[in-house]
Formats: sequence, structure tokens, C-alpha cells
Amino acid sequence: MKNMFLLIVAPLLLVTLGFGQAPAPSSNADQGSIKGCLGGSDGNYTIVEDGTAQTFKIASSTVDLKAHVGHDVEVIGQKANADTSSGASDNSVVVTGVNMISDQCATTSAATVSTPAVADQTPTATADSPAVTASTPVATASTPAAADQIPAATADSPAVTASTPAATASAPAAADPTPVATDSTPTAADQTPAQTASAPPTADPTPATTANEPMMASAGAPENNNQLPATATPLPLLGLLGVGLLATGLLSWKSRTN
Amino acid sequence: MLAPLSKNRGRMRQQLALFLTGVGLLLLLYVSFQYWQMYAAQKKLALAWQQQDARPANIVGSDSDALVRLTIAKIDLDAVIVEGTSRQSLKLGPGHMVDSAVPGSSGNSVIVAHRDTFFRHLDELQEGDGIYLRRRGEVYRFEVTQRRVVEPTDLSALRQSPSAQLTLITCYPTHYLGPAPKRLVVVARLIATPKTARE
Repeated sequence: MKNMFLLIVAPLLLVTLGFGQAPAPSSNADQGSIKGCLGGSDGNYTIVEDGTAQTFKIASSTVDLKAHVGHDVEVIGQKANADTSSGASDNSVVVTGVNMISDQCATTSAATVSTPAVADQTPTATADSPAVTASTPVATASTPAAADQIPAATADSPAVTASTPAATASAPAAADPTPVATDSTPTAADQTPAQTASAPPTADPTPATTANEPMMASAGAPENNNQLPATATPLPLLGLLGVGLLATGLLSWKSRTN
Repeated sequence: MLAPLSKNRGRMRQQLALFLTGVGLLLLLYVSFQYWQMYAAQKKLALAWQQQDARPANIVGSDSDALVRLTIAKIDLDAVIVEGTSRQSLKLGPGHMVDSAVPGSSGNSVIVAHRDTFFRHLDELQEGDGIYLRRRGEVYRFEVTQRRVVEPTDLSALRQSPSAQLTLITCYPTHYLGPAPKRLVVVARLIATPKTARE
């Protein structure tokens, strides 16, 4: 009786733990991470995104950001007031986690940046730093693995191919309100009017998209990553192990009862 | 004297059997749950993709208008890709490398997936095989031009290209148990003008 109880309770407990550890896919498209330089002071933090130089105001944080001021960090959280049309509030984020990338800001110093203005949305990066500017990591809900420093969206994030037109365009394009990047996906962070529906080219097999043109000059290799991503999961191994253990257990149970 | 010892042994054996069965069941449940999670996420994504695909292309896109569906008929692959190549992302679908080009646009678009799920049969692709990307009602047809096995430290597959290129990466050997020592890289180039799926 006692054994039966243990047999039922122990696996249930472990299954509960297992389920608890597996994060459910987020259904919030605005959840994500932002990599950049953290600045500001207590209660009024800002983060200047690497590459795009977009400034995000940190509305609230469940983690202590004070220790990371002036550091290059990746903040994980949710965009606040994404539906409002106000540029400033659109760039507010509620931070739920922070990962330090470097103790020095690689690009723009955020220490002096305060509340973002719409004008701040114009990317300062040009074709010289395209690999960084090509994508806007706004739809990240998961914490990247150690080897994968680039922000990533979960499956529920619709911004699957997030590439901010304004972020990748050079300065003149950013100043030009006419659509320039027809093939890129507008993201929540993108506030320039350069978001249009797709306009596929007709003659050239290569789409006339300009959004990623600057990327061509440099490698698309993610920063701080000197390896191709690992694509192995332990699941098949665990499955085999499970089958093996189950078979062994059943066999020894059977031999015992015989 | 011998009888209690034997009885004790028998009980221990019984408990061990119970323990092994329990752990085995648990592992199988965990693995099943992980695969179910992936399946559910893909189903959800496919639904979102369908909704996006049904919308007229001239409507200004929102975030949800960025879903890309990867179809490789030869290996029976049909999945909606997710952004990023983190472990969490790759659990849910093939992941688009954030710093690479947007799938279907000019430049090198890199898509990575697990060799034990989506890219299980990637090694079966040969030169000339077709790969389709569908995005916002447009269909991009790629053709495999190269297939090579590289070291994980070989980042040449991530290099940008002047034309639209698709690079698929997975671990190699694909049927290897544990962390595979190599990477399989399949390169495809865009051969057809994007056309709307409704054409």
C-alpha cells in the first residue's frame, strides 16, 4: 500500500516540477528583450538599444537595475502601453529580468539619456554597422542560451521576422517619410512611417528590399558567438532512457511476481 | 536466518522495480510534454500565419504580419519559423537567426532547427531541391545549391550574400545521440520572383 502510494505520488510530484520548469509559450507579442546600454538613475532608467540607438524607458522593474547602470545589458520584459499612439509611452518597458553582457557600454552612452523623444527614434547606425542594426529584438520572451546572445522571439511572438526598416535604413532613408523598406516587418519598436505592405518586385528574382542591403557588407554572425548554434536536444536521449528504465522496471517487477 | 534475508532482498528488488518504472514513466511523460508543446506552438503559429496570409498584401502590416512558413516537400517539412535561435525558440520551431536577413529578402537568411525534430531529414536534401518560404501572401522559391558539413566554429555559413540566399543549419550527424560534433549547412538561392499565393 505504502509502495503504491509512493509510486503514484513521486511521479506526480516530479511531473509537476517538470511542467513548472518548462515555460509556457508566451502569448504576448510585446514581450521581448532589448540589448543595449542601461542608463538613468533610481526609478528613471533608460536603455539605449544597441545598433538602432532607440531609447526605451523602463517603466518598472522587478529586478535591481542600479548595479547595471552604464553596463551593456540585455533586459527581458514587456513593452508597456503598446497600443497607445504616443511615441514616448510606446517605448516603455516593464523589465522582468536582466542579463549583463558587458560592464562597459559598447555604443552610445546611456548615462545621459532621459525620456526618449520621437526624434530619438531615428537610427544613427549606418551601413557600417549593419549586423547590429538589422533586427529589432522586440519580441523576445525567452532567455537566450549561453551560446546564443542574440535576442529571440518565442513562437507566439508574431514578429517572427522582425527587422525594423527604420533601423536598417541609413540616415537619409530614416529622414524620408516615404516607404523605403517594403519587405521588412514593422515591429512595436519601430515608429517611423517606413512601414508598408509588401511590394514584391516583378522582374528581378531578388526582391527589391532595401532593408537588409546594408547587412551585406558585414557578416551576419551574432556578437559574442564564435560557434554555429547547437541544435541538439536531449529529448531523444531522455526518451530512450525512459523506455529503457520502464522496460527494466517492468521486467524486474514481472520476474519478482513470477 | 536465510528467509528474512531473502524476503528483504525481494522487497528491495520490488522497490527498485517500482522506482525504475516510475522514473521511466516520468521521463517519457516529460519528453512527450516537450514534443506536445512544440506541436501546440506550431499549430498556434500556423493558425496565425493563415490569418496573416488571408489578409490583402496592401494592408499596412502589423507585428503579426511577419510570420514565415518554411516548406520543403522533399523532407515533408512544413513549419512556421520563430525568431531567434535560443534553446527556447528552437523548441518551438525552426529559428531565424536574428542578425541575418529577413527570409525572402536580399542577403543571407539563416534558419536553424533541431536535427531531431524539424530538420531531421535535412541531410536528404540535394542540389536542385525546392524550398518554399511563404510570407504575407507571397511565395519565395529557393533551390538548394550547396550542402556541406562544417565544424561548429566555421562561421562562413553566416556570411552575408549580395543576393537572396537561404541557409539552413542543423547538427550533424543528424541521427547522432548527444551533442553532435559537426553542423550540416544547406544553402539555397532564390530562383523565383515572389508572387502572391493567390496567383
